[in-house]
Amino acid sequence: MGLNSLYEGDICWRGEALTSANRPEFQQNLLFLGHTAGEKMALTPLENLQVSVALHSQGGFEQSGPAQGGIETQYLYDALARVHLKGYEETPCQYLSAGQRRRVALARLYVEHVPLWVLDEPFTAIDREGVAALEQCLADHVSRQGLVIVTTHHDLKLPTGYERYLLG
Amino acid sequence: MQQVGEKRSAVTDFSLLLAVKTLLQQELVLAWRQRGGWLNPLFFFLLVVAMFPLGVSPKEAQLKLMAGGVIWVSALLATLLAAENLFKQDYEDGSLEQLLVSPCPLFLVVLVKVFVHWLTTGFCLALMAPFLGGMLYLEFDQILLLLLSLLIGTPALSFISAIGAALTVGIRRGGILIALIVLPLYVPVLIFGTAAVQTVEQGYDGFGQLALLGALSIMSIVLAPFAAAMALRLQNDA
Repeated sequence: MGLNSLYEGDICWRGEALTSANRPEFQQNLLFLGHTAGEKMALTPLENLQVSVALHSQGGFEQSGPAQGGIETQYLYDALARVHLKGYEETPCQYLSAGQRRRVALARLYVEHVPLWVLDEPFTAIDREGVAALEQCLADHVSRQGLVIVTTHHDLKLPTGYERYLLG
Repeated sequence: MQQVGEKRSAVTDFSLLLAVKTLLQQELVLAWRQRGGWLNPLFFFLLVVAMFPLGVSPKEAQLKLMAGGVIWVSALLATLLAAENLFKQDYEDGSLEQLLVSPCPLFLVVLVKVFVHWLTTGFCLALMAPFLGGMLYLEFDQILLLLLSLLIGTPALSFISAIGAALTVGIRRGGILIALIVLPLYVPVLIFGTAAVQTVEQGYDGFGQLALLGALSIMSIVLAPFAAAMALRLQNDA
């Protein structure tokens, strides 16, 4: 993915093995959330989300968003509202709780529309309601022909009817 | 087959310009909100220079002789002090990982980060220097050249320190290691910087030294981001 080159075998994306040459193209299709979420404590959730979206992906916006002039902040507000951070958009992340910070990262799932999600323990520090919403979000992504690779200790309750592979 | 994102139409491509612009904005906002981090090295610079008249001699002739060197060495140490924080926070909060998986080329990210870092260290140091030069009895044309030499030379210091900072980002207390890696590379900058101030004193114009400083800066601006980007990738590989 661009983080680690010390693996055995090949990682293939759309039938092609990943090399450093086609990596940027692959990375445009990737959303990765690691253990540490990459939030800047001094920035507000809105600013954090802005940076993530600008650095990572297209952020395919509804109704042909005017993406040339920048990022349509309304979509960012919507995404933050969906992870229940309404009212905290302008509060620097250092004043937020662990769960709230985690949800700032998860808000990206609602704005950046890329096919492949790689999520490392996305359910940590999330309450029961949030877990249900996140499960729904993953299910929605899969139903849009998206791929989700997720590591978790949580017992995933996904609606049936999806292709599911348990690894390891 | 229905593509992802089609439901929400108009998938705009990743835009390099937007990415760089947003990153620059982020770095500036962060620099403003976390002023303590970069004001410290500036105070350090001020204090070190202010100690010299007390420690060595308050006599005009002696201070004048060493003022250029003192200010340059202090500026160099202040840059070194600031260098440790260059990528530290990104490494710790996970945003470095995010930058590594971003389609945005890493050397551009480094370029933006180091540029803002330079604005908060090298540039500010250069702006402080004329006052400190005046304090150490430098003549007007020497002060002018000191200012110019610092403005032209400090980008080299910042960009070279980025390599050291990138190489040591995974190490808990990498400060002294950065110094070991970076100081030998600082030597030419220091030599030409102080020489520029000294030549004015001897009645020459000192522009040759400034030109060489400029060359060093341009070289490090062009090459260091690539080296630092490589180093950051290596750090994350282990």
